[in-house]
Amino acid sequence: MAEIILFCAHRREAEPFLQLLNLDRVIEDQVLMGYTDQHGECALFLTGQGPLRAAAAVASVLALYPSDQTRVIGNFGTAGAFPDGPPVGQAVLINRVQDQASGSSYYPDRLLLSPWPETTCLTLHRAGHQPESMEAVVDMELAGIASAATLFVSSSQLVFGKLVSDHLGSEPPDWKEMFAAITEPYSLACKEFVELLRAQRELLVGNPRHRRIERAVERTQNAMKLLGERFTVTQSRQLEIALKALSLSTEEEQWARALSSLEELLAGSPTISKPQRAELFDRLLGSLQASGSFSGRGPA
Amino acid sequence: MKEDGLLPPFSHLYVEEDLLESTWSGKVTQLCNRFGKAVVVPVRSFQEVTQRRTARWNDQKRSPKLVIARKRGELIYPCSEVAPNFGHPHFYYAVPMQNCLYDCEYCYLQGMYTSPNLVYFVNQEEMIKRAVELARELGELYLCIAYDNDLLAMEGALGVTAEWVEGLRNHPSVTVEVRTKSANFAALKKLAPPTNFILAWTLSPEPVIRQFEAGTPGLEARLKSLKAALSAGWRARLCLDPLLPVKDWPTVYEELFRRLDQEELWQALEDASYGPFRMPKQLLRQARKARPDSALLHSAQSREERGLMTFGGTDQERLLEYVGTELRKRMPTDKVWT
Repeated sequence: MAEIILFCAHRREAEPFLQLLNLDRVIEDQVLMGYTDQHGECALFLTGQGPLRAAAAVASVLALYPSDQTRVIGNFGTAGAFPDGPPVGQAVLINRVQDQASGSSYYPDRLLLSPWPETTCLTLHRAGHQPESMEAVVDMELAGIASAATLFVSSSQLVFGKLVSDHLGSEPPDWKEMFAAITEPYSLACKEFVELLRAQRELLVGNPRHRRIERAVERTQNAMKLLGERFTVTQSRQLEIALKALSLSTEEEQWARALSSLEELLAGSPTISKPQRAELFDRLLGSLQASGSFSGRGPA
Repeated sequence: MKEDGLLPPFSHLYVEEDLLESTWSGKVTQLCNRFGKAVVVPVRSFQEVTQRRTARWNDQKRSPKLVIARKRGELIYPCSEVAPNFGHPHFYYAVPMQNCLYDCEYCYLQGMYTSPNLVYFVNQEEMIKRAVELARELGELYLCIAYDNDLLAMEGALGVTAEWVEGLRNHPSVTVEVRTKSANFAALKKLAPPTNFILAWTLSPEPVIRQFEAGTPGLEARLKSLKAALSAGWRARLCLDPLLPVKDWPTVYEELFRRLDQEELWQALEDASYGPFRMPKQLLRQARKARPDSALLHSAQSREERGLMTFGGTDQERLLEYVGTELRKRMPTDKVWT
């Protein structure tokens, strides 16, 4: 459910993504404005302005989704830059997000090649605040988004980008003029950003280690059901680790054999007393470990 | 392994921003120039990048980054009793670099740090100075500088071993062990062999290397490097650690000894050490979180005498006994450590 979740501050920033990702369905049951595609694979939510509001929005959305280690969380929008910094219309990837008010920093993992230059994004809490760093682009949401997102996902699941919309100066920009000037590069950048989000998702899904873990977790959960509630929490935990070790090191046939002998042991040992339970636990653990790679096999 | 679209290792250098405007700035600039195409990302403290709860080891390991920092606080630490002390009462270690380029499945670093990114500390000289001071206080010092890293694997880029060799060459009261799995002795070849340094190669049977020591050079390459070091007059140690009771271990380890015998190294070696896989419970728990795909880490469920977690069963005991016996057949007993 939702392979990619994108957050934008305003509808105007979101517009190109709605078309690119076919996000033609409004998510009705959210407090926030949200959109999704037909299959629910991509979703986009509007956070509104300001880092506190953005943090609340991101947390409220991500809390509703089940955990998925390969889901990609993105943010794209406009940002200001210093006149010596990137030119207006330049798309940049963010490798450091800094909250000017608290000084906290967040570092999305940079794993994939991209032609876009990279920089820090400094998040201000109010329009008109003076940025403390000139080596950054400046926005008003990203630190809030990053702060909330990192409660739910790992830094490898985050991809943040900005398009420089104006250069910071003494006079506030004319918004109409500014948007007119960046409409085309912004749409183009959105297209490239979507490709990057998809590539990141593929990278995470394609990690062979994740695939092995998924299979092992599923096998282990099924096997744990066989054990029922016979054992103490500590015993169950130890058996779970042993089952996982076995699951990670065996192919289907050997796994099936191990499960079958597990079932036999359970069927032949009704556990009533504490000593009986301890004895059964030892036998099960011994049996599982004997089937694994690093076994407790006796003399050959 | 190179994957399409994936950034190469050290595509990014995370640099403590204080260093950029301090007396260290020259050294930092030199380092950044060495990684010419890398993107420099300022960080306030290296822990911001290496101790993040949100970092996922298995993803970051696919494109590891380098962090440049200054080591603060204590610079030299007493060693854990888990490691053999090679007969030295004052057994200490230093961490000139944190984390390792390689990806060994059994590595305890996975339990120590949340991120596999490497941290290079710019103040090597301060660490060397502290080692000399400590040796003066204690009379002598035995110091391991490559327990939490593989310095030789990164020698070409960072030159840490060479810096320590030159820094301690005239301080015979400090003996230094540099442990490695690399095949990179060539990076030290131009140095005159110091009398107070021991290069310690961890060797494993080829099937163990292939299955559990991802990214490391094969046995033949390591052996070649070890031989080159001995030929150049360096002191060298053989480490068979951790011993893993893999499938068909008697054949696998017999083959390793057969191969070592062919090289006729035994007389030239300083000494040898061996040991089982063992890890403190807390580290193992963290390592399992970092590597939830590891059957090896999940298989270590027995507690040995010292309270460390290891594999249960008789295979491990028999393997330890076998390796100990074979080593003692080939070297004097007082040169075999466990």
